[in-house]
Amino acid sequence: MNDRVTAVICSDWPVVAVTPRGLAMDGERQREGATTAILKGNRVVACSATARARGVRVGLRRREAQSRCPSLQIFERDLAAEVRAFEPVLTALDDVVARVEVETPGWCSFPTRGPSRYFGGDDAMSLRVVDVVQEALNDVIVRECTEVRVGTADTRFAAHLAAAVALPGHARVIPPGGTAAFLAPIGIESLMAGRPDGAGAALTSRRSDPVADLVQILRRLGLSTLGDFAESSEADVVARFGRTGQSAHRQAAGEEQRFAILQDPPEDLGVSIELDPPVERVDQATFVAKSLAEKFCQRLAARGLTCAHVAIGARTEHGQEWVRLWRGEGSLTATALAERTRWQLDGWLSTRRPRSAPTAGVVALWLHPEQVMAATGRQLGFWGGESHHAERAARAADRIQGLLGVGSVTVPGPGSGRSIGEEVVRVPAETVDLVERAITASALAPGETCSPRTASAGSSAASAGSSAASAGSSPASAGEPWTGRLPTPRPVVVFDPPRLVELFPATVTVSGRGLISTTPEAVEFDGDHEEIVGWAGPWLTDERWWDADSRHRAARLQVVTTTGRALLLISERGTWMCEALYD
Amino acid sequence: MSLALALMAEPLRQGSWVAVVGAPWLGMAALAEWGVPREQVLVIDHPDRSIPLATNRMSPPGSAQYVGPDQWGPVMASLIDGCDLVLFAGRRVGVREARRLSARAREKGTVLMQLGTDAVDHCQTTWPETADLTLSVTSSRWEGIGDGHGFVRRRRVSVDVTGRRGGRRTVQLWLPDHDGKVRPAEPMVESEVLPSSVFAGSDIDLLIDADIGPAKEFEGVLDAAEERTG
Repeated sequence: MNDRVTAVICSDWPVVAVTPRGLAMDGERQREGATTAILKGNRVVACSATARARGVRVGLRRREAQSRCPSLQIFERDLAAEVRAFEPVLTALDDVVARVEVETPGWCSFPTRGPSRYFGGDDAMSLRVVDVVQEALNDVIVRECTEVRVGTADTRFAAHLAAAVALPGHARVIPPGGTAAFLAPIGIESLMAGRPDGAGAALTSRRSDPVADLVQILRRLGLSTLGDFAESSEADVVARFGRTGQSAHRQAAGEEQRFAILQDPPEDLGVSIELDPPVERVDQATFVAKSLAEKFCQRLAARGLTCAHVAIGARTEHGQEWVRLWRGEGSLTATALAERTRWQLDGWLSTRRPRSAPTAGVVALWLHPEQVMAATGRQLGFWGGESHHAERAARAADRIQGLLGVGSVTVPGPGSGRSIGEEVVRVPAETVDLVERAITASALAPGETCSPRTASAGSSAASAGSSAASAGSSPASAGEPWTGRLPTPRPVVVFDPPRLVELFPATVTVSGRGLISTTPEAVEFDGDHEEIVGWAGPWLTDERWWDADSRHRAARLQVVTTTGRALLLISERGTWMCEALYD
Repeated sequence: MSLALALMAEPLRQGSWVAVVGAPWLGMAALAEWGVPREQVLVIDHPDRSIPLATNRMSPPGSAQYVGPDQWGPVMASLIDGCDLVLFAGRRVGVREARRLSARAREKGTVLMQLGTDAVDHCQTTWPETADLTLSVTSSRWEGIGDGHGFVRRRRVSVDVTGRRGGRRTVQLWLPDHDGKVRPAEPMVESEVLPSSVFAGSDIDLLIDADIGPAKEFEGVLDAAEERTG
């Protein structure tokens, strides 16, 4: 028998998660609904209703969004906060229905049969759920930010669509057997829309989106509604589009999305770990969860299975238990599982109900697969065979972030500017996909060895500008030619902030016209007094002269001492400092 | 330090990853110039300082006031698992910690490189065990810069190579040469050598497995240099 599903959607959930913060900033405007947008990787992933009314859309770049709505408040996406904010809703739902599955913050679903019989029918049950969720929302957050929608249908996909078309604060119930008819007139794009955006996709693999490709092809084939697609023969669809096509076809036809093996998992697939001594902090528990999740995935992989639906449980020293069901899109990776464990524990700790808050450290964690399916595996790139290096390193970076906190690992990214520190900037590792980045870079430059350094032809101090320009055209520093940039080679040790040095004779100064007053003879750096055997410069820079506050005027000097040391000195407001060391 | 970058470049081009630990002063622009692909670099500035979860994500890393428990050992251990090369500096390592890490590195085939940071922080880095291979720059001479004209273009260094199992040799290198690469240098005319130019700032200790990875490739350069110097 077909299991009916009810989906609960709280719209614009990422906005809700940041709202308490926004509220602190300006209370008055918030009440009428601030224009807020949530960004991930410079793209809008969610926005508030007021922002949407002013033309902000999901998928816009930051600049585009700001140009459409200058008063837009922008926040970085914070999944952990979203889950924390969602926890009260889940707790409230737990009181009325069983087996709530979280897909992503703001989206959850549960099997309809039991609750429906208890409350006297799908309609009554749906309305009850709407009430419960709204009440929970009233307690914690500003109501205006989000709207609750509930949908009930024969399949999960249809339930999501039903919820999406329901009126705010209402429920839409598709009668049993009516799912196909309900889906038929809906546009083909909803194959993409019918699943949680962002979180699921962000945490699992996100190379190219096969469903998006499929939708595009179908539209070009003239199949513009789900009904059109469902009418085509399943055999043809499988022959042309393979597994993705098959599952999409089933969704469109109002059938449960079935895979080749969809079986009750054998008992021994779950993993658990006893923690002794009890773990008190969430990050410590996350660290344990990570290795647990890896073990779990390995065990499944050994049987050729993956898992898209998992129960994560934790028990405290006092015997309190906390179990949540999580559903991922496609399959859940070890990282995604560990992340969900962290969310769950975070949520548990921040719960507002005294009786359900943990009173002691966590002594046990377990993962149990609720549903397994055949692993279709991941095809490694044909050319970029080194991705396992990147994956290993990305895992290490994750682990260190677990140890030291978010923001502790950085990776160099392209910057722009004249001074040494500005040419390459540090980007926090969690903001980029390390694997993707490494693969793209190696694909762009296959077999490319060192970026050939343009031989700086300029030979005198006066031509430093021209030589810098030629260096600017080299591939290593593709981008804007920053005239006046330092000639290559670049110093290896960069001091930030620069260290004070003394230059002898003390009368060495640089005039406003860039002339040096006398020949420098010695330098005292770090307590070492060293004779200067060679020097060059001064090279003047006068940056941002149009802005009194950030104006930066300095002169640089290269000196080589008798010990073979080469220093880059900088003079600002009459003080000499060592900016960098050629070592 | 350039020596370390030059050593790193080749294995990284083969797809390996490098972690730079405790060296916030390392110039990232120079990294790219030595041919180190920046997509394969992880930088951990403060391995002994944890950032609380509550810190604003947008604030620069390391700016947090809160100093958590020292996680240097675990951090190094995960890096040894995840990267093929680990460059570290700014740390006095205990004997037990060192032994544990080198055992782990040997098992994973990871190369640990200790940067002698004499020039930067007065040699705060110490490793209690003898390295498999120690490279130290004994003299360096910049060329291309004159008395008020030119700019530093290329540098001639002599590198002392000492192995754990004895044996010692000295090679002459251009580091960098005109094209920013490492190249064996022709022997100098005796009169050119300045007796005063002794500089031991860029010691590098290759702690583990000198037979694999970058050391091996670098040996090629060293051998070539030796043949010439005869």
